Amino acid sequence: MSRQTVVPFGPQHPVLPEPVQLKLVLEDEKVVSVLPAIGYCHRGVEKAGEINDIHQNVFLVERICGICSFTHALCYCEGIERIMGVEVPARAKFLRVIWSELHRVHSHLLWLGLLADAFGFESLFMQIWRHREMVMDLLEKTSGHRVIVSTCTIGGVRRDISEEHLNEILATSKEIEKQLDKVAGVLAKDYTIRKRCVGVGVMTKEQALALGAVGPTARGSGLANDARLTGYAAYSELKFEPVVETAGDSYARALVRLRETYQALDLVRQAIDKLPAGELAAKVRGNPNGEIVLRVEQPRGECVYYIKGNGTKNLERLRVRTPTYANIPTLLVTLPGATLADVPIITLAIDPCFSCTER
Amino acid sequence: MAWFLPGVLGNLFGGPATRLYPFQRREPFPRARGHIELDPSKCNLCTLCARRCPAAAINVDREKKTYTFWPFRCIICEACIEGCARKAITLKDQWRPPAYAKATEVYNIVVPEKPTAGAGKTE
Repeated sequence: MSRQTVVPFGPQHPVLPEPVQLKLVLEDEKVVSVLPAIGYCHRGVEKAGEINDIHQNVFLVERICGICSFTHALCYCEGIERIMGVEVPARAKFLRVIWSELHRVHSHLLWLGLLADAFGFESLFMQIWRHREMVMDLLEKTSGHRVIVSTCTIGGVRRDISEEHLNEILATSKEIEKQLDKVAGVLAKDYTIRKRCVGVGVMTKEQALALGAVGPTARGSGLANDARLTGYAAYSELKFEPVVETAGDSYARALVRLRETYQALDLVRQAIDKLPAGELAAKVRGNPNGEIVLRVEQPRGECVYYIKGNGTKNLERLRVRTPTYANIPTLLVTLPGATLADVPIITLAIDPCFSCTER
Repeated sequence: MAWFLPGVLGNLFGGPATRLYPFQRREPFPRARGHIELDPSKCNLCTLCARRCPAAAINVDREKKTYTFWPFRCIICEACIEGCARKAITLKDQWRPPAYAKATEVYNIVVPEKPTAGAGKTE
């Protein structure tokens, strides 16, 4: 009968990118159970969404998260456009895909760097973030800002990407792939990484389905769910398959994200190939009257928006359910049985983004 | 053996990955979002920019004929630029340096009777 201690893996921790408190109940070194507590980052975005008018809300919503910012704006704008019956020009749809996939690349590169940092492999962390800078420079050249690109608007996009920038995106994507090959080599062959990630935090396919896991967390356990297959923006015209691994441990999730980075760069190339000429945005007049539920694939998983308008220029309700919110319950299954040193790896493997979760 | 040598030699002779900021600065990219500037001679106090601003960084007072701008609230989203029919607000690509106090910029607007009247600016 060993004694149980409760250790707070607290909101401030060097390994966590964002604040969450996990009360770990430990018996000698093994985690027996865990109690997550969130709420350190709540900013009242849903209430603010009712106070602003619908055009100002785009800027509010893209600031919910810095890493998946464009996909929030995309989901909101697409929702309002479907309620009001606005037809988005084809060029705008493809440009939205390009920016969304660039966000996916920079998010997954950020996560790979954080994973390396979580077990102390700082040189790999710095190298990966150096490659990520290429994507940030691309975002700044095409939209003006590095992180919050502010290019999505109701009816289309606000900025165009010129021929010169499109060629630059193509050249940079080749360069990133070259550098990623080296990173993939390290992830595949390095003994320490495999020792710390393989077999750690295993979640079976049935558990993932029962808990409602989304995104790479679920796809690492064999569930082939990808909200991009529903065909919003220009995804119905691009060819891709969801990236799935079956092992269900942290290594599988890392491999899913690595392969998704290659897939995102491929999608960017497909979108640039098929980019039609045309207008950037449709004229939007009037106010939304109706409600809609819309799903979008963010880098961390599937994000659900519920928007209700009542004919005035303010929305009646804006409800956001972000992917990390659905992935937190998987911690209740993956953490028990792990040692204390594995807790950061397992927590990071769901790619936590609590500024999204708590809006 | 010595599988790590190419990496080590590459890092030794490759040069730094970072710039020695603030001694070496990069020029901002064209159309980078630096800061917003108003040209008071073109403004006609229509208040469209203040209504569109998501951060409430602009206040236009039609009775007192002033245009107040709080640059530290601005999120450089360009909604005001899109709303202004006179193209009085422009985007500049140099970002504002950090300061010791949050500034407020107040402009006195003289709405021209004839097309060529000027306006004054006070801070």
